[in-house]
Amino acid sequence: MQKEKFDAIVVGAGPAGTTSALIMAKAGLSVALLERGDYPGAKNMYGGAIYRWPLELIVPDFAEKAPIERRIVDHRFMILSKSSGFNFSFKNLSFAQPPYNAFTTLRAKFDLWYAKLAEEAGALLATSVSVTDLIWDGKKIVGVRAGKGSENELYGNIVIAADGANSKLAIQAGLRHPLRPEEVALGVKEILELDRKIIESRFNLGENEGVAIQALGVTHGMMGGGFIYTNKNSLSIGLVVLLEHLIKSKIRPYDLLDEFKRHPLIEPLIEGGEPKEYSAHLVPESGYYGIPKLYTDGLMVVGDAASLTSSIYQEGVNMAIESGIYAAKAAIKAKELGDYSSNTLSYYEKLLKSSYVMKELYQLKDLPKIFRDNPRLFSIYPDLINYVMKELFSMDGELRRVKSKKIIKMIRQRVGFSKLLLDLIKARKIFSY
Amino acid sequence: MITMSIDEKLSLNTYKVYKENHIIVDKEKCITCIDKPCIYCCPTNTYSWENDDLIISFEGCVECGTCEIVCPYKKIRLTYPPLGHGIIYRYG
Ligand SMILES: Cc1cc2nc3c(=O)[nH]c(=O)nc-3n(C[C@H](O)[C@H](O)[C@H](O)COP(=O)(O)OP(=O)(O)OC[C@H]3O[C@@H](n4cnc5c(N)ncnc54)[C@H](O)[C@@H]3O)c2cc1C
Ligand code: SF4
Ligand code: SF4
Repeated sequence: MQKEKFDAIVVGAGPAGTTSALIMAKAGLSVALLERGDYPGAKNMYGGAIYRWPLELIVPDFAEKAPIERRIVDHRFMILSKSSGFNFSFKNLSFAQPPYNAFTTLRAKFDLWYAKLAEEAGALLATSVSVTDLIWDGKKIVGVRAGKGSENELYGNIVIAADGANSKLAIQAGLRHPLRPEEVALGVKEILELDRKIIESRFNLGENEGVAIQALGVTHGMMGGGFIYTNKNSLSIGLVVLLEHLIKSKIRPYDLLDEFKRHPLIEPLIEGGEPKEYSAHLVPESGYYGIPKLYTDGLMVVGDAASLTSSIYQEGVNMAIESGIYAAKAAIKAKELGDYSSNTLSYYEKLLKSSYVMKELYQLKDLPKIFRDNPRLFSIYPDLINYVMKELFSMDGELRRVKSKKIIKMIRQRVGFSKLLLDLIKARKIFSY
Repeated sequence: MITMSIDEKLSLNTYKVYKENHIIVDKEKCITCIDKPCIYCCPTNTYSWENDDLIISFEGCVECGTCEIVCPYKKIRLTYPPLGHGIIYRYG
């Protein structure tokens, strides 16, 4: 890297950064897209599946072009206790038809494909470049330093920090504090290779159809849960737990993952799967209240770096993409005006405020705290639901009326009716906007 | 093979290991740190305690950032291996 100057420098070729770079390059800005990985995606992992919106706004024909594994037609939920599960599924076959609602993809493939689009649009993609510092001119950010010994400097009118959950740049820019254990969760995952035919028959799927499974009750009461996603010929199995709770539990994350894999209702689903990769990554869990200041003179923060995720519906990539769009628009406007101060870049925040991302996160703003403070949700309720089901379905000559009494007694013992009522009210609050 | 040891899990991965350790720990507090959460929270078992010393086997680190956050004394600084080194996910 020479001492070059760009209209915009984007740090991080994940979904957020690549989106910004792609849109700015298309608008004729000179853009450098810097990625520390050997290739875009080399450092990234997620569940996961990506919703079609807002990707389709940027790549209308993504369904033909993106490295899609399977189209999600079935969303399953498993509420597990030790040896039983209360499971339900939402299956919609129209999700298997264009325009498709969501799809599984592997990040090492998806991020690479997506970043190539930014490159084709004219952005300079530089991989194996790890940005270490911001360059300041007084109070204004004017570039980045990269590489060992920080000998390489790159200048730009705007820097977009798209460096993910553990963003060092947002901290350096003075926009946020280092993440605290109550604000972020750790995800661990394995890829298990499995014949595609077996996947289709085991999960009752047509060709190219996929399922997303979320499992509750597998985290020893820690905020979090397990997941399984079907890829073309592999499964992604993993779980996510809040760091604050992991610290207290003293359980090792890989032991928790193995316990999940051995659960009697999970083991048959993954049987025969050949382990291919083990991965771990952070995911922000602080919701609306965790969103930092989004811009300063010469810099904007997008995606996970700005904590734009919603854990309840497993969203992150879509929010990263949407925020990337608005940051790009603000950068394009700044270039038109020739003004890169926070005054102009506040346009990014304005756009984001009226977007899906912010409105959705605002609606769900109380959720992270409710989840964090109610371990009942992650252990006692799954147990209770399974107990109720067992009582209702087991035939042992006992009248249902007697069983109901037992159930009531159990609820009183394990939670108490006042707490249960409170939890129900909270649940209503969440879903009644 | 449903479950595996952490070393077996890590052996599945592709790494381009850099010659220098990218995890900088100021060990001043470690001896008095009661729980040593870095050891059991790290998803790759990078840290261990041997002969009153914190041992860092950085080769299997996947650069997730957990250790930095869980250290109660903020004594860990995770830098990134330069020039594309470190973990290279093939699936992700
Ligand atoms: C276990 C787990 C499951 C998830 N499941 C889903 C799911 O199913 N669906 C969904 O939509 N979302 C999911 N998410 C969330 C989703 O992965 C993120 O929200 C999304 O990846 C954010 O995109 P991003 O571009 O902001 O950040 P990232 O994807 O993290 O990209 C950041 C990029 O910046 C690079 N980088 C970082 N620092 C530097 C530096 N100093 N110099 C150069 N480059 C740098 C990184 O290498 C990386 O490529 C999940 C997350 C986890 C952890
Ligand atoms: S958590 Fe921090 S202080 Fe404690 S042992 Fe680990 S590095 Fe040392
Ligand atoms: S960054 Fe993650 S994988 Fe690496 S040592 Fe720290 S906790 Fe372990």
